[in-house]
Amino acid sequence: MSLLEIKNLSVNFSILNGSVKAVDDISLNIGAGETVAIVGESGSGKSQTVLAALGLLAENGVASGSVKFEGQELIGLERKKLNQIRGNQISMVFQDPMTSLNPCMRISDQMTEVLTLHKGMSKSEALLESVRMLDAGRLPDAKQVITRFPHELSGGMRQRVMIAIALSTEPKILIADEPTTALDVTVQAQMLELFKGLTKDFGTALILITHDLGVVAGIADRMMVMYAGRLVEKGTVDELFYSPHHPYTFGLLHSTPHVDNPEMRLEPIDGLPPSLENLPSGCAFNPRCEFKLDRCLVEAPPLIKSANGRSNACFYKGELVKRRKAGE
Amino acid sequence: MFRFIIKRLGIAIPTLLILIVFSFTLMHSAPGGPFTSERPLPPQVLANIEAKYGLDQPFYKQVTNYIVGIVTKGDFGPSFKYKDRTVNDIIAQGFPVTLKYGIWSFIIAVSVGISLGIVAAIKHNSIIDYFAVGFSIGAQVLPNFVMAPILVIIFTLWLGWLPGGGWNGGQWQYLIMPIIALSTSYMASIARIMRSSMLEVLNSNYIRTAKAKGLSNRQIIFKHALKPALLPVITYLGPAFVGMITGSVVIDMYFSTGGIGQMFVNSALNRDYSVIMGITILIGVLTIAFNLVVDILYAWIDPKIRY
Repeated sequence: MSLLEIKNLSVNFSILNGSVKAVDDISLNIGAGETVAIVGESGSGKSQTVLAALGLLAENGVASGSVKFEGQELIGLERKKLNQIRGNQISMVFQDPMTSLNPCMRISDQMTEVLTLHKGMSKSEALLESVRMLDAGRLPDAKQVITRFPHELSGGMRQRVMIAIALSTEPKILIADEPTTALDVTVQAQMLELFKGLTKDFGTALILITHDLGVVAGIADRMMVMYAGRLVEKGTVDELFYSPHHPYTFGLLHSTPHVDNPEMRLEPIDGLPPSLENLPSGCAFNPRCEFKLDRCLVEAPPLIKSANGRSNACFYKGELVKRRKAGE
Repeated sequence: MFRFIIKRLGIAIPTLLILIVFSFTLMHSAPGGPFTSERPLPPQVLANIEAKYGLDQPFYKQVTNYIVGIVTKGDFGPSFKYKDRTVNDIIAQGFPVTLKYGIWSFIIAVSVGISLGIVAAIKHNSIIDYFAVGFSIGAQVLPNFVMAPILVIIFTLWLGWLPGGGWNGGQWQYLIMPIIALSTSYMASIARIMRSSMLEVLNSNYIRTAKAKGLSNRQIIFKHALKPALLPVITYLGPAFVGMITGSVVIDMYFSTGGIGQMFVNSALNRDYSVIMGITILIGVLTIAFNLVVDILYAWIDPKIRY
C-alpha cells in the first residue's frame, strides 16, 4: 500500500461568474521514502493539488475525489483529526519564506509549537529539539538565531527554519511547494542538498512542486507533469528526461538550458498557458502544440498507462522532433 | 526604548509651546472679548476690568505671563466669566466626570468592537458578519446628537428605566446612556478596522503555515493572528481614547452630565480666554501622551519597530 494515494482529485474554485476547475481528475501514489516531483507552469494546478490534500484550499475552493494517507481518507475529514495528521505526519514547506513565517512571533515560538502540540514535549524539551533541528539544517549559530524574529533573518535562513519546522515532527511525507523559487541561485543549490540529505536521513517521502527541471533532475525519482489542471505525463525522471512522450514535456525540456550542451539554443514553448476560465476545446495544450492532430481540437486525450508504468495523455504517437529547426 | 521616551517627552515641550502661542493668537484675533456684551460697559469700567485681567498689556507680554504662570505655579489663571473660580477649579470639577464616562466608553467600545470584528472576520460572509458590517455602517451614519435623544425617548420616556439626565456623582443609572451615546460610533469604527485587518491576516501566508502545522482554530486566531491584526486598531485607539476622555459637548448637553465637553464650547462662545486655553492645553497634553503610548504599544506588537 502506498503511503499517500491521491485518486481522481479535482479542485473547483467558485468565482464571481461561475466556477473554475483548477485541478482536474489527478491521481498519484507516493511510497515511503520516495521523492516525487510535480512539474508545471504557474497556474497548472500543482500547488492546489497538495493544498487540497491537506485541507488548505482558499475559502472558495472545493476538493472532490479521494486522498488517502495510510488508508485514511483526508478529503472531508473532520478538522480535529486532520490536525493530528498535518504538521505531524505530513508537513509542508511553502514557496515564499519571507511571508510564510509569522512576523510577530519569535522563531523559537514558531518552532516549538509543533513539538509541544504533536509530540507532547515540554517547552524546554521542544526548545532543545528545535535547536538541534536547526543545527541539522546547517543553520550556523542556531542557539542565537532561534531567539530572533523572522525579519532579522535572510531568505535562506528563513527557508532553513521552515524546513526545520516541517521536519522536526519527523513526518512521513514532506511537501515542498517551490521551496527554492524565492531564493537566489547559490542558496537554491544548498537548499536542495539539504532536502536530499534530510529526507534521506529521516526516511521522509518528498513531494516536490516546482517549475524548475534542474531541481527535478537533481533530486526526484519520479515526476509528473501537469498542464492546465490535468496530468499530462508521468514516469521516472530518467525516462521523461531522455525520452519524453508528451509534447508539453518535450517543450519544457527544450526550454531549459543544459550544462553539457551550452551551445544549444533554448526553444521556448510558444504562447501562454490557457486561462482556466476559458480552456480551449479538446486538449488544453493544442493551441501551443507543434504536433497537434485534428482530433486534438475536439477531444481531450485521456491519460493512458503504457507498459513500463509510464502514463501519457496525448494522441500523437510519432517521434517528437523539433520541426522548426530545419526551417530556420 | 527609554531614550526614545525621553526624547519624545523632550519634543513635547516645544510642541505644547507652539500650541499655546497659536491658540492664544487665534483666540485673541477672534472678534469680541470676554467682556463684550449686548449692553456695552462704560469705557472706563471696561478699561479697569481689562487692566485687572492684564488684557491691556501688549500681546507678547500676555502670552509670556500666561506661560510663566503655568510653568512656575501651575496656575492657568482665573476664569473671565465666573468671577471667583479659577480654570484649575473648573477643570477639576468637569474633568473627573468626563474621565469617568469616557474611560467606560473606551473600555466598552474596545472590548465590544474588537470582539465583533474578530467574530465577523472568522465567520466571514455569514449572518454574524453581515450583522457586524450593518451595525458598523449604521452606527457610523447615526450621529450621537440623533442617538442621544432617541435613547432618552426609549429608556426614559417609554420604558422609564433610566433618568433622562444629570450626574448624581456618577451612579451607574446616570452613566449608561452617556456611555452608549459616546461609545457606539467608536465601537463601530473599531469593529470595522478589526474585521478588515483580521481578514487580511487570516488570508496571509503565515496563517496558512499555521494551519499546515495542524494548529486548532483557537490557537491560530489567538496565538498567530490577533497580534498582527491589532496593529491598525492600535493606531486608531490613541486618538479615540483622547476623544472619549475629553468628552463631547453633545453628551454633556443632552444628559446634563457637566463634563468639560460643554465647558469647552461655552468658554469659546463666551470668549472665556483662560478656560479655552486651559482645556486646549489639557487636550494637547493628553494627545501627546497617548500618541506616545500608541508608539510604545506598536513596538511591543511589531518586532520590526525598534526605537
